[in-house]
Amino acid sequence: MAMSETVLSERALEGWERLAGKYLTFRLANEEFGLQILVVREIIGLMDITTVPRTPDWVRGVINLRGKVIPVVDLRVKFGMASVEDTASTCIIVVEVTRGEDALPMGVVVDEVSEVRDVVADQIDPTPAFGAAVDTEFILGMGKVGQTVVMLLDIDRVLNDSELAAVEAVTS
Amino acid sequence: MACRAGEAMDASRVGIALEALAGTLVLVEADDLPGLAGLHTQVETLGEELDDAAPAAVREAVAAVASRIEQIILDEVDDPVVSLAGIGRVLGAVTAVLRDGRGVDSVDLGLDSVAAPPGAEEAAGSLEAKPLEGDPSLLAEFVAEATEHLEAADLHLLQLETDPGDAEAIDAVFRAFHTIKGVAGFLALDQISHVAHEAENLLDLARKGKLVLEGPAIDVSFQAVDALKRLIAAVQQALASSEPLPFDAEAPRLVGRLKAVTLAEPGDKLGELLVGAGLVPEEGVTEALAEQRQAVAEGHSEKPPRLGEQLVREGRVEASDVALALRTQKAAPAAKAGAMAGTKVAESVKVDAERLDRILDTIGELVIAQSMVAQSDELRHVDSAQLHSRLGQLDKITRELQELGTSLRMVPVRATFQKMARLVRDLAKKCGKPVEFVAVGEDTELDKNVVDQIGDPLIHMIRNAVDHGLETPEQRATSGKAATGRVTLRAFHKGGNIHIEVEDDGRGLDKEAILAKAVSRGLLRAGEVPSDREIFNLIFEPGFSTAKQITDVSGRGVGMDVVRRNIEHLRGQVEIRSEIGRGSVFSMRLPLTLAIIDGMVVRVGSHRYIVPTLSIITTVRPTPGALHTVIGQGEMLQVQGRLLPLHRLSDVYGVRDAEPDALNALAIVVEEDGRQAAFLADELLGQQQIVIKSLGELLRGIAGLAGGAVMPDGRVGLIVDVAGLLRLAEGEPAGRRSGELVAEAAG
Repeated sequence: MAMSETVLSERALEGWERLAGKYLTFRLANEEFGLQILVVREIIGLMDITTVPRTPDWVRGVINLRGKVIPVVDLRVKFGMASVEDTASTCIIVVEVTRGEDALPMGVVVDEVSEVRDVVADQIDPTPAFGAAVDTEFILGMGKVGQTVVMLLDIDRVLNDSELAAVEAVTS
Repeated sequence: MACRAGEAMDASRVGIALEALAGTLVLVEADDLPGLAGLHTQVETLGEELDDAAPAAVREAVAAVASRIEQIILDEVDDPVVSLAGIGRVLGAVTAVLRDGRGVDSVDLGLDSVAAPPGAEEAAGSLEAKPLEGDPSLLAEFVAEATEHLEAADLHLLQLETDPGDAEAIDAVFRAFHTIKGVAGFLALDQISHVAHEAENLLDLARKGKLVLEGPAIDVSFQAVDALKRLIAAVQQALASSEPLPFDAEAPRLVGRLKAVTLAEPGDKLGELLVGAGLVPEEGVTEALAEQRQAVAEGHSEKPPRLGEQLVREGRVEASDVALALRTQKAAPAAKAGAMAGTKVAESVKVDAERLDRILDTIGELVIAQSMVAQSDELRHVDSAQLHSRLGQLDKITRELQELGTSLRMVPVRATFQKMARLVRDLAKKCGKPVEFVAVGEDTELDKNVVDQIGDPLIHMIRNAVDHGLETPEQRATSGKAATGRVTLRAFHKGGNIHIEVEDDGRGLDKEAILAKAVSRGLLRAGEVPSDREIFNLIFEPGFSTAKQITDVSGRGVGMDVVRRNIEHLRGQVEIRSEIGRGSVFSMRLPLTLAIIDGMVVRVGSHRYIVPTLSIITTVRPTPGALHTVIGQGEMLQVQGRLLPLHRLSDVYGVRDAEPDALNALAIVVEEDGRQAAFLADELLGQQQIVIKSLGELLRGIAGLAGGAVMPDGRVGLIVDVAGLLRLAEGEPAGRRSGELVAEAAG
């Protein structure tokens, strides 16, 4: 009994070790989220987004990133939060989503970019369960940095396979 | 026992001689006799400058070089270019010893390359793989260059097959072999150099009108091209794997065949010249030639003695006269080559595709930045004619750059079509069917990526056409057709797509046979009545082949499903039209991924869409008389006497702020697959050339959209996929969305 518990916590610790590192934190409404710095390519100011018909509503559209057309996802809509008007601090974080062997650039619209933070393993707690009502699959863990709690996002899961399939279903 | 050279003798004079030699050597051509004579004198001068203090090996080497040059002048070597290269190597080594003071033991004088002439026979003797000697980058360049030359030679040989007298084509093939021979010689690729050398000889005869390129002569020329391709592929392989170059056992046999064809022809250039100059009676030459051929036939030597040599030995002519005739002989083609030098030889540079894409993206951004500056409000208030004229110039340059940029990725399908021409020729021979190959629209430009990938499906379709499509000449005769079958390969732009069609005038597809097979394989239930199109599409099912016998060429039931997979991978479509007894058309429709198209920019509400201009028949402003509704839901528009379904772009794309009144909007009449329809947009904003970009992997293949394009203001515009749009518009009954729109319009 005791032994299996030790094994379990060791495993958990290993998991947190893996999650520890630098995070770019940003704000949506009054919640803080973090993206592993390695998946972040750049931060750009809000630009004209071209709406693409026949896509889910959380797909805000496409933008021209130095000659490349990339999709932009509205995280507020994606997470089911109320939409708000864009402000001067609204910006787009360009991330790389891994799909199969490809790293695909994608923009996410956030209310405000905060800062880059070091999150160490013992600052990370597991994601609490909210039951079926709240989908927390794309949250890697909860980082407690100072007074704030940062939800560490797994960007690959934010757009999970079933949702990509949904995009395809809408579009085909 | 390394002996320091240049201590006792006059080092400076040796140095001067060496430098002069090096200078001449760089400039001299293998067929430049005065130049070679000058080189000879210089080598002799060098020999005189060297005294006993010079190492014996060096003196020997210099003497060997002198006699080798003599041989080149007398045309006694098989390949003067290779010999010259050898001389260059030896002199380089000699310089290293004499001037740089390196020990003679530490330098390979490379005497072999001058003492033993690297003739075909000697090279054929070394059956072992040998490591590549040349500089890897030079070798790689050679591989690329030679491949291009061979492609061109292939094409010209095909032309020659229909018109053996085409002097331009003969010259082109000759040049290809000549260039390959020369470069291969310098790079010590002996086998390539020998095959090319013999092929060059053959073409040279044709060039001088001494041989007609038909029958075995043209066959062996094709074989030479194939052999060179194979040998060059081996070089490429060896380069990539850093392994030694394997010996090609087939090449010597080909060299033999080439020689046989070359020697079989009566008359000899040198002989004729000598006779013509009245130096030797004609009988003398004929006799000598007969002896020459006999020597080969009896197997005394594979290589006949040189005619000049033989005549001199037999006392029929003076050596100096032979030299003169040789000089005349050399001068003629040189003059001709000089005259030809100015003709179209397009140079090309290979560029990494990713870099190219980056350039294109950057140019796109430059264009946008430039137009933003030019159209900025601040600038409008600046009252300076000079500034505005300079901006105008900047604008012009930017556009030019953009045009250049967008054309960079496009290549004509010509090269691919040429390969197919060759394929048809080979297949026709194999199947014993005379086939005429017609290529139409070779200049149609396609994205390089697409061109690279249509090769495989095309090969399958061509094979299919020649092997299954065309009947045997006897069968054709009984059905009253010309004995020669015809395969047409066609490329054209249509409706914003590129179409490539393979058409044969053969037996056509047997619907009954396909149906029977489909039923027996359980693909269809008996009694089902599919449309013609559906029936024909069955042959794209895996393992489906109706060929009664399996041939070497096709009929194993692999292929057509691969064809469809390949084409679908390119996001294209393939379709068959066929009529029994008349022939079949396999039609590929390929999207213009990355290709440039002309687009009409239209506004729908606050959105902009780009409609490929090629799909647009006309645009009209609906008038009350032309507009009709169908059961209060569907709309129809009368255009030039025809009633067309009218769809609203705003409905299909879910745009809410579009103009509700059709009378204030604009109808765009489009055609797709022979069907016409009208789409309603608010306004036409203009026309422009656009580069289609994918919307990204995550938004791939959205119905009704072909992709995106960066607009002049830097925003993304969406490109309408007319076929998809039609499917959407027709597949969707007037539903909730249009109902909403009607309600809004009413409110």
